[in-house]
Amino acid sequence: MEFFNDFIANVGPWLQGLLEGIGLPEVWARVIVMGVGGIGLALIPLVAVIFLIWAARKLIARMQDRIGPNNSGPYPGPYALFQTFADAIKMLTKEDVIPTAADRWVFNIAPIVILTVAVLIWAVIPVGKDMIGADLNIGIFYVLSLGSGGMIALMMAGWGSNNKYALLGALRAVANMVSYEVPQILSVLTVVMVAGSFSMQEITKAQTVPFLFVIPVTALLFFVSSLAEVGRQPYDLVEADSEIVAGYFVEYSGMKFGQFYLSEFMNNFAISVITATLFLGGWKGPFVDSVPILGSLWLLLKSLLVFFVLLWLWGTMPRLRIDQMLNFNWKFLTPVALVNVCVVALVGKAVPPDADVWLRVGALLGANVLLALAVLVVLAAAGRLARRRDETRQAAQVEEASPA
Amino acid sequence: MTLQQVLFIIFGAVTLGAALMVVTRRNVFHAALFLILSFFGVAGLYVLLEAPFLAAVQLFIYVGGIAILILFAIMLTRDMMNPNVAGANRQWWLAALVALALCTVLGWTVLNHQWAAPAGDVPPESIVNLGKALVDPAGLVLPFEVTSILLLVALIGAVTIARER
Repeated sequence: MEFFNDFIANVGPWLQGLLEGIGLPEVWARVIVMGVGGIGLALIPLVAVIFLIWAARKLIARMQDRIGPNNSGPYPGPYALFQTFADAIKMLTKEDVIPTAADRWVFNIAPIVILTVAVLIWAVIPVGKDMIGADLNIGIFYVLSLGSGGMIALMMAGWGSNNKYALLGALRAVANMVSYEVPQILSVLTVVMVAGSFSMQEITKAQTVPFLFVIPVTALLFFVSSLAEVGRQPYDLVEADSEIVAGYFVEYSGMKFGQFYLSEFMNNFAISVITATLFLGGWKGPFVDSVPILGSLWLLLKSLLVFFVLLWLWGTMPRLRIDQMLNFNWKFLTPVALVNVCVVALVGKAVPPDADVWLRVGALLGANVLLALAVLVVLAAAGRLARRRDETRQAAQVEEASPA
Repeated sequence: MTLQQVLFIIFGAVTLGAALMVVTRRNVFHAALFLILSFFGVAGLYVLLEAPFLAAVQLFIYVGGIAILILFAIMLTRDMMNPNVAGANRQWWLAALVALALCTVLGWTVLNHQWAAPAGDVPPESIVNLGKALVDPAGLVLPFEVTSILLLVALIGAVTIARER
C-alpha cells in the first residue's frame, strides 16, 4: 500500500532497479526510465483529451438546449462515450489531401510543430508533490515562451496552405496571440512576485491560501487572456467557421486536421491546468501529505472546474469582432494589468513575505478588491460619457435633418 | 565524448546549418523559417550553458517577437515571393563589405580576448542573481532603466504614429 500512496514518485526508481537487475548499465537504465516517463507524461493530455472532447460535446449540447451524443441512434458505447474513438478511426482512414499549390514542406510540418508544442507544456506541470516532469526554475516562463512556437506553427499552416481563408485565419490568430500575450505575461509576473519563484512547484507550494483568494484580479486577467491565446470563445474569430470557413487549418484533412483539433483541445486543457496550478493551489488539498497520489486527483478536479467555466463560455458567448478584441485588450486588459502589477508590487513591499501570512493575504486581497472597484467606477464613468456623447450627436443630427 | 559534447555538436550544427540555409534559400518565407530554426539551436546552446532563462528569453523575443514580425513583413509585402525579382540589388557589395567588417571584428574579438572562466560550478540559482544584478545600484540598474525608457519612448511613438487623424 505504501508503494501506491506515492505511485508516480516510486515507479521510476522501481523500474530503474528492475532494469539494472537484468544487467543493463546504469546510464542506459536511466535513459530508458526517463524515456518511459516522458512518453507517459505526453500521454496524459492525449488520453485526457479523448474524454474531454466527449464531455465538451455533451455539456455544450445541454447548455444550448440540445441532447448531444447519447444512447440512441448511431453513437457507440454507453452515453456515446466511445464517439471520440469512432471519430479518431474515421480521421486515420481518411484520404490525406495536399493542395497542388501548397508549400508541401511547410504544409506538412505545421501540424507536427503545433502538436509538439502542445505536448511540451506538460513537462513543467506539477501533478503532485515531487511529481513533475522537470522542475525547471523558469517553469511558468518556459510555458509562456513555448507559445511563440505555437504562433510559428499557425503561420506555417496559414501560409503553407496557399489559401486566402487560411492566411486570414493565421493573421488573425497571430495578431490575437501577440496582443493578448501582454496582459497574460503581466498577470503571470504578479503571480511570480507574490510567490517569489518562476518554478511551478514553488508557486504551488507558496499557496497557503489559493492565489484566487489573494489576487483575484490577476486570476481573471490571466484566465481571459489565456482564453484569447488558445482562441476559445469569445475569441474564436481565429477560426470563425461562418466567415473564414475554419481559419488556418481549412485545407487540412484526415489526421492532419485531427492534429490541429487535438492540439486545440490539449491547449484548452493545458490552460485549465495552468490556471488551476497558479490560482487554485494545484495539487494541494486534504490528506495530500500522507497520500501524495491524491494530489493528482485534486489537480484534476480543480482543472476540470476551470475547464467547465471554459466550456460555459464556449457554449454561451457570441464572437468578438477583431477591432473589439484588440480594443478590449489594449484599452482595458493591458492598463488594468499594468496598474495591478504596480499595486501588488507596492503592497508586497509594504507587507514583506516574512510577515504574518494572514496579514499579507489580507493586505493583498484588500488592495485587489479596491483595484477592482476602482476599475468598475472608471468603466461606469467612461460608459456614461460615451453614451452622453452619442446622445448629443444624435440630437444634432435630428436638428440638422429637420429644417426648423 | 560526453553527452554534453554530443548535444553541443547537434545544437551547433542545427544553428549553423539553418543559418546557412537562411542566406541560400531563394524562397524568402523558407529563409525566415530556417532563421527560426537557427534561433532554436541558439536556445539549445544556452540551455547547455546552464542559462535556461536566457534560452526562454531567446525563444520569447526572437521567435515570438522578431521572427513573427519578419513573417508578417513577408506576407504583407507585394512581390516578395515573385521568383522573377532579382535576389540582390545594386548595393550588394556595400552589404557584403559591412558583413565582412563585422565578421572580422567578431572573429578577432573571439580569438584574442582572454576569456576568464569562472571559478567553480555555475550557481544553480543564477536567475536570482540576474534579477538582483538588474536592480542593484552597483550593478546594471542604469542600463536597465535606460533600456526601459527607450522602450517606453518607442511604445508611445508607435501609438502616436498609429493614431488616426
